[in-house]
Order: sequence, then C-alpha cells, then structure tokens
Amino acid sequence: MSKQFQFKLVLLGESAVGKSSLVLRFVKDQFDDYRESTIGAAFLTQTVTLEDQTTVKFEIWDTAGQERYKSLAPMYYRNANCAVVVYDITQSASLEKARTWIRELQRQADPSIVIALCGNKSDLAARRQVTEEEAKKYAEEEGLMWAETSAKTGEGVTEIFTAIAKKLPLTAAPASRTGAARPGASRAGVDLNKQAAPGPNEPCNC
Amino acid sequence: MSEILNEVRALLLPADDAQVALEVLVADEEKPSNPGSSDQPHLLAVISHISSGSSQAGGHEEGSILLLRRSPSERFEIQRVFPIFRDLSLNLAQSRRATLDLSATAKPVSNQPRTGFVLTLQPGSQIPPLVLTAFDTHNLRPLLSECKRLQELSLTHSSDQGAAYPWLLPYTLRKNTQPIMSHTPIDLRVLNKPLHERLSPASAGLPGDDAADMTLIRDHWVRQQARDACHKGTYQLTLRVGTFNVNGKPPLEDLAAWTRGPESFASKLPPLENLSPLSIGLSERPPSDLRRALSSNASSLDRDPDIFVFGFQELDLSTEALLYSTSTIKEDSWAAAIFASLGNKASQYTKLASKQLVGMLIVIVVKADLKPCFSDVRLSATGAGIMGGNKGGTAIRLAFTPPAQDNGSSGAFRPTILTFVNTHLAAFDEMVDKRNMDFHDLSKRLGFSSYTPVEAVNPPQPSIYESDVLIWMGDLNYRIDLPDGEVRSILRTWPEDTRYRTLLRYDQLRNAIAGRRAFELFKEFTINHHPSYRYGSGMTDELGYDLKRRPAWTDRILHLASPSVHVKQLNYQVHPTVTLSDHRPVSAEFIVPIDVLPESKYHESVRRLLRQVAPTSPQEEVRPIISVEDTSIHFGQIRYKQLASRTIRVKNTGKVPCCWRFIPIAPNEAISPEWLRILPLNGLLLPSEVASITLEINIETKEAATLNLGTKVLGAALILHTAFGKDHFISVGAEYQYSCFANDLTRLTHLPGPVRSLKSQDDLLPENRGVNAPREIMRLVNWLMKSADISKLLDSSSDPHVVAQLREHLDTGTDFPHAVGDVDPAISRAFWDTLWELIMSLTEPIVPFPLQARCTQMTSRDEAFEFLSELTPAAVNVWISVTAFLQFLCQPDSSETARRVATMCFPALLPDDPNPQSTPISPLAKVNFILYFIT
Repeated sequence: MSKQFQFKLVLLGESAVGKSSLVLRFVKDQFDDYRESTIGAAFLTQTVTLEDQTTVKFEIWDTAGQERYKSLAPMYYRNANCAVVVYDITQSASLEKARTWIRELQRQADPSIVIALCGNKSDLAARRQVTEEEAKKYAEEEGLMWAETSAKTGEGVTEIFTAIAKKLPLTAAPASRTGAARPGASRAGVDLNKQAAPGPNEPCNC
Repeated sequence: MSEILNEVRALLLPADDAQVALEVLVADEEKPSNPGSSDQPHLLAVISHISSGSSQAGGHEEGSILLLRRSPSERFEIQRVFPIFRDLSLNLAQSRRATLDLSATAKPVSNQPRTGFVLTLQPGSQIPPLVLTAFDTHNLRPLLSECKRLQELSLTHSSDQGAAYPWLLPYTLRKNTQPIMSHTPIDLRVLNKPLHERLSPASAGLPGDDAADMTLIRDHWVRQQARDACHKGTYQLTLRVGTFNVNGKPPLEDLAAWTRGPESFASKLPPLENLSPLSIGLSERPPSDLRRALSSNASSLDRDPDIFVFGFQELDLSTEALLYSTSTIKEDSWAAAIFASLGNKASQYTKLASKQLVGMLIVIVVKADLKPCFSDVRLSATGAGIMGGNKGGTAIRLAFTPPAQDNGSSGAFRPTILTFVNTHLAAFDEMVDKRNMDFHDLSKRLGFSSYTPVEAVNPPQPSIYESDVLIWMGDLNYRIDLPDGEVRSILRTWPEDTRYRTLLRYDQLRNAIAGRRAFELFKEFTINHHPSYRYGSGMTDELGYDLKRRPAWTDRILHLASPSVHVKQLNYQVHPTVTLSDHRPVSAEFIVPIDVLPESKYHESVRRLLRQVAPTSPQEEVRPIISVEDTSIHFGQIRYKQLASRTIRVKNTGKVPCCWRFIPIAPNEAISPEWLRILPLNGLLLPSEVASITLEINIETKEAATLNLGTKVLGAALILHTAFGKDHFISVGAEYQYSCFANDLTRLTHLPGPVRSLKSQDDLLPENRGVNAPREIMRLVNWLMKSADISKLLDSSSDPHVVAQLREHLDTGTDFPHAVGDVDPAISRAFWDTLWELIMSLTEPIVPFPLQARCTQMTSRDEAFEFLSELTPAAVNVWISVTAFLQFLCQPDSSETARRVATMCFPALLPDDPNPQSTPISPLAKVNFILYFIT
C-alpha cells in the first residue's frame, strides 16, 4: 500500500526573484514572461511521487516579496515544514535578502524546518552576479539544501522540490492539512491494517 | 475504509480527528417503495476534539458521533451530530431482518450481507432514537470501544454540560443551512449574526474551510438575488399584538382601549365603577398622555389590523387548573370579550387559532377575508423548568401567503412564516436568573426542538426560531433594579424626557439583553409608558401602584425578524384604563412588509442562479482570480467623529465565480483595527463582475481614547482571501489628528497648548506645571456664560456641523467665529451640546467612580461643597464652573427647571461605573447632589 504525506512549504525571497514563476513551473509546467508582482499570498498544491511509490503532497504558500508586507510573512511560514528561499543569480543584493530570510527562519520558524536556498534565473548566467561557489559555501555553512534553477527553461525546478520531499522526515507524523500538528494522534499515513485491532472483550452495550 | 476515513477527515476542522467509521443503513429511511436505498448507505463516524487550552494537562478531549451521507456531488455531508456525553446511549442487537433479497433489482445473493447488527442511538430521553443497521462487523467493535472511551472521558469532566461541546458548532451550523427552496426559514439566531461570523475560522496562512464558506456565501447570494429577481411588490401586513396578565379575573370590562388602540381610548369610556383617580395612574393628565402616545416616534396603523395576536397569563389561578387544564370555558369567555371589544368591526374578523396551557393563552384573530392566506398553523405549549407550575409558554406558528393581486397574476406565492410566543416567566424581583433560564428553556422546548447539551440533533420539527418573523410577548416578569421608593419617586417627580430613560438603565430585561444572558438579538421598541405592574386595590401610592410590590415593566412585547424582512413597529403602549387586573395590558402595532414572490418563478431563479455560480467545468481545476484595483489606500488626515471613507474596486478576472472574504492576520484577532470598518466583509463575484468595497474610518470616543495616547501615523494590513485562491494584501494608512475629546482631566491640564500642536507625547507639561483647569472646557463655559440665550437653550436644537466646527476650534485653539452677543439659539445650543459631549468623552469622570458613592450621603449644601475638597484642583474647577453655569441657567425660573437640568445632566456629571461588578449608585441621590450646586 502506498503512503501519502502532506507538507506545508513556503516560498520567501526578495521581490522579482521569480518565486511565483518557480511555483507556476512546478505546479503547471508553465512560464509567463511578464508576471505581475504578487501582492498577497497564493496557495497551491502539487504532489510528487518518489521512487518507492510514496507520494508527497506539497501545500505551497507563495508570498509577496515586497518589503512593506514583510510583517505578514510569519503568518505564512508558521507551521511550515519546509521553506524555499529564492534569490536571483543576476542580483547580488537578492542573496543578501535571502540571508536575512534564512536568519529569520532559523530564529522564528519551527526548528525542524527544512530550508532550501534556490538561485533562480540560471538561464541568465551571462549576467551572473552571484557565483555558484559563494552560494554553495554559504548553504553548506548553514546546513541548507542548495540548487540553481530556471523557472523559464524549467531547469532544476522539479529536482529541487523532489530533493526536498526526500529530505523531509517521512517516518515522523507529518503535519495535518493546515499544519497544526495534533498532540498524540497522527492524522495521515495511518496504517489501517493495524488500526482495526479490537480492544478487550467488552459487552456490546455502552 | 481508509479512503472513506480520509474523506471524513477532510470535512473536519484542524483540531478534530476521526479514528473510525462504519457503513450503516438508516432504518426509518428504508422504505419498501425504494429498494435501491440500500445501495446508498450512510456512514457513522466517531470524531474527537482536543481543546488546546490546557496543554500541560494533555488537553481536554470530547467526542461526537456523526451521521453522514453522500451528497449528489459525491461528497459526504454531515446529516446529524450526536455529542457523546452521559445521556447518550448506544445499544446493539443482532439483526432479525438479514434475510436474503431475491427481488429482481437486488444484488446477487452472494453479495448480500448475512449477519447484521441493529444499532440504536438514543441522545437523551426526549428525542426519538435513531435506529441503524450495520453489516461491517470488522469496524463495529472499534467504533463501540471508541464511543465508550469518549463517554467515560465525558463523565470525568461533566461539570459544565450546558456549555460543553462548542467545538461542534461549525458542524451543526452548516447543518443549519436550509436548502434554498425549503419553506423552513433559517434559524433567526443564525441569520441575524453577520455572515462573516458564521464563516469558518481563518487567518493569514490558515485558510479555514473554503468549501463550507463558499456554500454559505453562495447560498446567501442566491437567496438575495432570487428575491430581487422575482420581487412582485410588497404586501404590508398589519398586526396588533397585546399581552395581558389578568390575575385570574373574568373579562367583566371593556377591553377596547387595549384591543383597538388609542382612538378608542378617547371615544369609549371604561365602565364607571372602575374609574377611580387613585387606581388609574395617569388619569390626572389624560390629554398630555394621549399626546405622548401619538408623539413623534410613535404612530399608529391607519387601517384595521390584518391580524390580532393576544397573549394572556394567569387566566386561571385555581389549583385544579395546574392539574387538569382541559376546560376551555375561560378561553371562550376571553375570546368573546375580545370580539365584544371590537364593536362593529367584530363581524370582519374570525378566530384563526388559539392555544392554552394552564393560565397561558394565545389567541390569533384575523380578518375574515384574509383567512385563506393563512396555512400550516401549528401549535405548541410547554411548562418552564422541571416542575412547570403555572409558568411556561404557548406558541403559534403559521404561514402567510400574500393574497392574489388584482392584475390576476396566477400561481402561488412564497409563504412567510410568522411565529408568536406568549410566555409567563418566573416571578419575584430577585429571580432574574431563573427568568433567563426559563427563556432559554422555552426557546428549546417550544416548537418541539430537542434538548441536548448542544442543539445538534437536527430537530424533526421546526423550532420557534425557524421563522421569518418571531414576536415574543408575555408577562416576562423582569423588574427594575432600584429601591422601591426611588422607582416611585422617579416616576412621580421626574420630567417625562428623563424618567423612563433613567429607569430603563436598571431594567433587568434590557440588561439581560445587553449582557447577552437572554433575548439576545431581540428588538424592543422605546418604552415611553409607565410600568404595567402592579396596580393595587388596597394600599397604593399616588400613581395607583400597589405599595407592596415595586413597579416594573413586567409585560413586554419583543420581536426578532429575518434581515430580509424589515419589520416596522409603530407603537408600544400600556392601557391604564383597563383596570380589572393588577397588571395593565400592553399593546404594540407592527407593519410587516411581506415580499410577494411567485413560488415557481423563485424556484426557477434559484436553479438558474445556482447553475450560474456552479463551476463551469468541474473536471478541470480552474482557480478563481480576482484583481484589486488599488492595494494601497491612504486616508490623509483623519479627525475625531469625522467620517472618512474610501472605496476599493475588486474585479473577478478569472473564469469562474469567486467567493471572497476578509480574514484577520492571526487567529482570533480582529479583521481590521477598531478604527477601520470594512463593508461588506465578504461576497461573491461572477466572472468579470466588479464589486466596490468601502473602507470607513469613524473615530468615536473609545477609539480616540487610545489614539490620543499614541502616534499620529496609523497603518493596517488587510487580507482579502479568495476561496481556493490567493490572499490579497491591502495596506491602509492615515494620519490621526489629536483631539481634546476622549482624554482625562490630568492630561488636558498638562497640554502645552492646543492639542493639535502637540508634536509627541513627550511634549506634555511636567507634572507640577499643569494649568488650573482644561482650557477647552473653560472656553465653552465662558462663552455660554457671556453669550448664551439661556431662555431658549433647553428647548432648541443644534446643527451637527456647527458642533463639528466648535470641536475643531477647541482642538486647534483658534477663536470661535461666533461673536460674544450672538443670540441665535441654535448657536448657543451648539456650545451647550459641545460642552456635554466633551464632558461625556472624558476617560475618567470629574468625580472618580470610587468617590461617587459618597455623593449620595450628603445632606446639605455645605457638606456637598466640603466634599469637593477630595477632588483634584482641575476637577474642582471644572465642577464649580459647569455647575455655576447651570445655576445661572436655572436662576430666573423655578425649582422645576433645576430638576429638569439636574435629571438631564447627571449621566454626564456623575456617570455610572461601566464595571458590572460595581455597586450601582442611586440616580435620585446623584440628582440631589447636583441640586445642591445649582439651586
């Protein structure tokens, strides 16, 4: 019997680094050249099937990157199991911003959160301002996953989400639909063959 | 089964879980005519909830059984909810009807289950049991053991049974969504809560139950649109409602004043033997009372009412009546008295229905030619509490279908459901809690709804609240919480314009409604009449009230109506000329505008609208998309009590209809800061439709009190959530202009200059450098002293624009434009009103609450002045200057003006402590204290 898990994932990063484009590529395999900037937060889902037939359903929150909505971000990364912090390889300032987000997550998010640092717009390598080495070194120091992606060509997109799925603790009880873990009871992934074990003999009247 | 269990979980809120589910057949739905029903089994699921409150204690777990069924859309729907508590019993027996079905339509014999069990669920002794058949023995045992576990848990914390299980409410509320075509209206208590309070709990990042919210928003929208689309005019149904506790007396008196209204008061004299100046409270001044009855805010019907509803209490006080109340002799004699009182109109009316229980009787009389318009008349009666006694209620529910119109439009119209309740609640001054309990008890038991910790078990018959209009009358027995002598004295000596207003602040019913302890959401018309209880035949006071009982408004008429029915009450009166009982009868007249909606057209519209809002292609997941025109709104400068509004336009740019709602940033927080209002808070947009949302800033005293102490720059982030779509952020900014209104005296006296020039909170004067008295109050008093036309001050009225201008002059420190000597009474009045507005906006009263009780002990003018030494210098200066002006105002005239001024001003000078724990201070004593200063 295949197992299904559900995780909350949040995208963070500076405005215009391509967070919404990454999600659009991952969820619908599409790309728009001219996307309006996100003013708000969008909720999408996508399911990834791993080699062992385990399915992982991502509940993705794509948040606004604009500074003035920064105070709202904690509401969206609260209870997240994983975060993808995105920077633009052609804008070195965007990596600085990503570092700020990562520090904030390390300080305020759930301690078990899996964080992936993602350098987007790899198709524009000619205008690169952030080297692979620099980003990779930082990621290693902080114990983060790291990859470069191109939402435009699709390069690396599915791979990074699949890598996250593999890294998530698939043995532990994952968070429930809204991420609010319930004490003492696991919701998804219940093995129903075990569940029906009858209690001690009891009279039929309760 | 695991997939089914996951489907059940998908219906639950995050804190709830389902561990076991079982397929069952519902016995009473399995009709022989419908052999296919066994192919559509129900599902029984046990769910549990752990309250998050006490995490160390491991939380507090409660359970419930749900009965679910697949809807035509293949989703499970919750049909019934059974909270697992002590009184729930669950019995199991071997099925005797597991015979093989050999009919042609049946399943192959090999697929038919052989062994079955009959499960009987009994949620309490008052409710018929639910009988189910289960064949799935594999899941039966875990289900029973889970139920048993949860029931044992419920016994360990059964202390608060009445208030328990609030977590089930979202499931039962959804149950309350009546099908749109149904003739049973939605529960008025649900319908009168704003829609956004009925939506699922949600906040940024926690979207709640979008599917359920969409259903609620969509159904609300469809109902409204269908009404608008089929509206064929309005029928103005006219009602006259009366309540009368007759104290066991026979109807030996003309009831016309009560049954027919004020016009008969003038033309008909009551029987002579009952006309004694002492027993008729207001007989000394009938002309003025008549004038008041017809004064501005009260009016009366200009034609004979379509319906009369009369509620009687204490028809029969004999002990036998408690035991056998089968006789209708008393009922018949009162019905005869009603018709007799109608005089020559009697022949136009006919009795439609009546219901008696012990001494309580409700009678409905309708115009004979309208009788065919009334249908589905249902009666109900029940005693209150366990013992019942002579308290309780009787109720009548009926459907009114507007008569066919002249233009010959054929076909039936949609009926409107009217329910009338007549109750007699627990007596005695101190029994207010029992009265509140009686109200809740009767709310549940009248109209046959079930009696369980939560109103969860879907009532098989409608409750009194499942109506379009509910009118509740009776001897509700609520009293006035003031000492006896004080009530009588205020009634006798205070001017009309302050007498009732003052007493009503101590009325137990008004306070129970305000405190949401009983009659929540009900409306009652302004009481501008004397208490209806208790008039005596023995020792009475000057007004005719019995000396042994404190006068009270025991006899009341309230109403609760659907937001789509705009009930208009015309008047609310007591009839002192009907003197046969120790109560005086009370009446009220209503106009109920009934929408004329052709039934078939309504159904057609509903179907059309539902098709319109249904997703176009259910296979493909099409996301709703809306765009917000301007996501950054700045109001500029905003001022105290100056309404400012902005509009945002929202457009559905997607391909499917979209439901939207505003949600708070974090759970349990407000959607917007208290200074900002959003209208509406939710809605539905068809593709390419545009909606306007209004943002409104209106800073009243409460908000200003906070804002005056903070920074000028205000900001908020609003979150507009689209169901199954994005959260849009809208930022709102404004610059608050400080005001001298809504401060305390200390702060006002430490302002370095006009409040508007204050740069920051650090600029206040040092503690010992304050001025003697607030400039703003002094400026107003000085102007009034020098310039006011005091002869007309009390009887004129002001222009709100002038008052707003005066506020601005006080805040900015600029000179008043009204020259000293300006004698326009409206201008003088504006200064007067501004002064009181400023005093009433003080965040701490001039005389602090703890000192106010002392005011009542003063026995002379000297003592009263002595008392002032306990106040701060600023408070003394304010008190002396304001009362000096009041004394000046009362000078030329008599003590009558002084009393009028004192009764008008005491709520501002000596306001009540809003803390409900505080001991109330006598209004009479407050007025006497003020009189020492102004006479």
